[in-house]
Amino acid sequence: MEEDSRGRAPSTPQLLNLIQDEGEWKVVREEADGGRSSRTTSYEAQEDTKLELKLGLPGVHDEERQAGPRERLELRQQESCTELSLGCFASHSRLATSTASTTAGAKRGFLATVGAKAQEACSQRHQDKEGCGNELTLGGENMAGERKKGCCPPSSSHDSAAGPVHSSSNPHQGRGAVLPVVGWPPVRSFRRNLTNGSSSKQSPDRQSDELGDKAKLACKRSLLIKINMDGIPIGRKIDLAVYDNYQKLSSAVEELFSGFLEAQKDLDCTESGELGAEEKIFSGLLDGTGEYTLVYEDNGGSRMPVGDLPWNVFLSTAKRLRVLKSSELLHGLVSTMQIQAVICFPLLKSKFYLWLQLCRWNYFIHVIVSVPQSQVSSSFIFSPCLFYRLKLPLVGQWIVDI
Amino acid sequence: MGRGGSHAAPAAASPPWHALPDEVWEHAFSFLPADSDRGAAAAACRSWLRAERRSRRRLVIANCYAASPQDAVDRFPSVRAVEVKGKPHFADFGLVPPGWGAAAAPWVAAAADGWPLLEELSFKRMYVTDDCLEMIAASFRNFQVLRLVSCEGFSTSGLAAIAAGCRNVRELDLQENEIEDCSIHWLSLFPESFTSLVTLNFSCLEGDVDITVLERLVTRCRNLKTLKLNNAIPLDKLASLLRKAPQIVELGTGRFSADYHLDLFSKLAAAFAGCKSLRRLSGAWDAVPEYLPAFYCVCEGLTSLNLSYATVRGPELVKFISRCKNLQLLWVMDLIEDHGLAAVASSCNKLQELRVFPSAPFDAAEQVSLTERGLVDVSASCPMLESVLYFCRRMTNEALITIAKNRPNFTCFRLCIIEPHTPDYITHQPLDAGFSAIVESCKGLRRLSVSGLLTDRVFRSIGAHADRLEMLSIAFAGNSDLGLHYILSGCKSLKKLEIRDCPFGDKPLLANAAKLETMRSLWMSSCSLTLGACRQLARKMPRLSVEVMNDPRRACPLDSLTDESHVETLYVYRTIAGPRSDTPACVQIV
Repeated sequence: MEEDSRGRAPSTPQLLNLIQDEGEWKVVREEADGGRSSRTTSYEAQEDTKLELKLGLPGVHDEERQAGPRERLELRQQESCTELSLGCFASHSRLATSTASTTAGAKRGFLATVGAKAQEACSQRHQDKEGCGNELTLGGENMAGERKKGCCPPSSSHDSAAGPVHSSSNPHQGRGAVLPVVGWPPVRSFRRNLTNGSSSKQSPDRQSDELGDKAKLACKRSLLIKINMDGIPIGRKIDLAVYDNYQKLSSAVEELFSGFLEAQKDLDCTESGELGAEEKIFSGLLDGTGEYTLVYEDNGGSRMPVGDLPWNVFLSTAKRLRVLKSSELLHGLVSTMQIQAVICFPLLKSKFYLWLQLCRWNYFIHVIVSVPQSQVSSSFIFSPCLFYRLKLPLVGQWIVDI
Repeated sequence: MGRGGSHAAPAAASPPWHALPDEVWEHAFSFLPADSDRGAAAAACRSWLRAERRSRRRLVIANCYAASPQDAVDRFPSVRAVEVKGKPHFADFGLVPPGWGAAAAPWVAAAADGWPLLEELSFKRMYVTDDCLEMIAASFRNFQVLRLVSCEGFSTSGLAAIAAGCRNVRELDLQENEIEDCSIHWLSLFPESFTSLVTLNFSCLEGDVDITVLERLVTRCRNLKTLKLNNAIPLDKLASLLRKAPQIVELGTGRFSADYHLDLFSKLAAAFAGCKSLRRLSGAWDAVPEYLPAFYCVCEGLTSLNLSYATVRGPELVKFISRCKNLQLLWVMDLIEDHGLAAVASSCNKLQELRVFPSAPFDAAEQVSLTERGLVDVSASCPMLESVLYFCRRMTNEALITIAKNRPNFTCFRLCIIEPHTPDYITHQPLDAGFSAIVESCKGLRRLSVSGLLTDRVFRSIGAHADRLEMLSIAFAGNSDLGLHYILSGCKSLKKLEIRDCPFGDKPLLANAAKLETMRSLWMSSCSLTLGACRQLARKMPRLSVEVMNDPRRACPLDSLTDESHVETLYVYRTIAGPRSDTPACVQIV
């Protein structure tokens, strides 16, 4: 996933071994002060197993998780449609299996875009200033590489200040390699996407070949979109272009928000199940089995669970991501879709836009339209002046239950 | 000492100056333009303090944690306009974790209580919620100006509250905020009788806006001088909006791209021709060159042009800018390239501020030909140039020395060479000589950002010569503690220092601890600091708040860490309010 990441012999012994694994870089940190590091590596291992367990058809669930009654209901509903959705899930799992050991050990900066670029990189900590000074006066290229920083290094969260942790990226990309450094160059985040749309829009006669290629490259450039999670007031941004499948996206989302949840848990001081609790929350983001589900919004505002579309189609349609509580999705509020055919439904006022609660399984949309007064749960806070335009998709089969 | 009562008409001489009533002093102080002057006057004696603080109308809180909202309200009871700034500057680039703080709510609450006559509120880099906006709408009956810059945390529901609740709002200025779109048609909540709008800027809004409502609003607000649209407004609507507001002085266009149609072009050109007062232009997202000539009729009058979102390149762009002979401010993307800048420089001699933004900052290879030549040409041809922000990929000492010689009147010089540690590309030397020339020549330099390969030598020059420097940004520079020591022991007027990825350690920080109290704030991230030094600093300087942050995603339990443990991010600021209580788990106050 990270073109930049290559193995290199660490000049200071200590630190990261890079194990190439199916084309993915998996970082196994070996640090002298073992305790915490072994904890983290075992965390990664657990994460791996968690990820692996998530693969497969919706009917297959992680037995270790205790499913509450609501979740069981959801399972049943999903199972009933298993045969219908078999096709898509199979492809989904194919996607996922190809990246078995995905983003293990990925510690990202809180700008997932830049952070993910150097996901296995942890910044160098120069404990001795002299050494640092010497290194810094070397040629620019070397420095560029060694200064890569994906995020604050995990070592700093350990008790003792671990020794410098090497960047896993190859500095010798040639002059002017893209630097996956957080917050550098110092431009505001909305400047990242500027050239995306425009270079593809430029009139062809003005484009030289070079520009044409750039336009193709531009599409691969950052696709920063907002992502919000239920219960966390502050939204984040995530760069879709960095990932190439849903599993990675899911892990990235987990990375983004796990800190928040942990912080909130710290405040609550309830249980101390650090790792286990986090994983429980975030497992099953994609297949609807977990406590939370990842949904995306497209241009029309429709919300759909992530995972149906082929990845590159998803990249171009998804305009916004949300992590919603699966329990709220249960009654089918996965997406808000514009009512265009509202005239068919005598009970619904065509003038006002109602909240529709919809249940959706991949390509087959199972619509439950209910009278607003009787349903309560939703993932939004509805107030009288908010109205949602709901659009029913033209494609696909839909069943309406009123 | 002047108890407020005037003396009876004196028989012989006027009362001695120290017995003049407070109102006289208040009136005298109203002529002091700068807050620092007023502060100095207030420090002279008690009666001046009383007179000054009771008559203060504008208040700027440059660091929201430097004082508590209640302190501000108590000290200045008659304030009508407040500006509060929150997060450190590096928050713009993602170096400050979300949830760090800078909540606007306590300020709004205190203001609602203590300043009921407040008219203007301005927040920069703060976390403003919809509740805050609702409280603003409900608490101040004469509220007129709301300015939110780089804020987040609110949605269009909050804007709806402002629109519906503030009868007299004159300015609604939203710059570069992150606004959640709640599909509320907030514009339609301005009542039909509402006509007082002078400034409307919603360029950062991402969602759609009802055009008909906007048109009606623009039509009835005859005093509208500034209108900045967002990206969702298409080009054809721009023409009709302009026809309804020909008195406009500042315009931010919406999306400026569409397939070329002659009638649309003529409509636009005609609409612009009607805007005789247009002086400032911005927006132009995705501008296509074919439509640029529509602007030609306003070019002569333009003083400010912000094309930093216009990813247009080629001769049309240069032709357009070159027609703006009276341009004072130009923000453009590096697509203009060196030759474009040279052309601009020769035509726009009145240029005072230039910013060149990178079109592809994260790209590997250089794709536009923008180098040091462009800046040299501009500095040579524009005698009034005083503020520069320039992103490029290569620089030489010689160019910097030339620029320094050409333009000793720089007040703000920010050069960002995109790749860290880039030396002079011809001599392969560090850029010390170049930046030293800048600080030595530009005696009035107030803001400086350095980049490229730099050693401690440049910091010695900066420390020694940059007497008026107030803000300094350093990244990937220096080679030892000496660098930081030079800065902290020199730079007499330094207020804000932000450093990232430099090999600066504990010693200069501790040695110059007293300096930190004369500064507003210090940010150091990815340097070589240890927790022990931070603890020592906090002990030594009780009026500083020393905030430490390691991993933004994890809680940071300091007690378990030893003195030798590395500190990833340090943020120190002076405060009279004591340690704040709203830190997230990842931030600890030492």
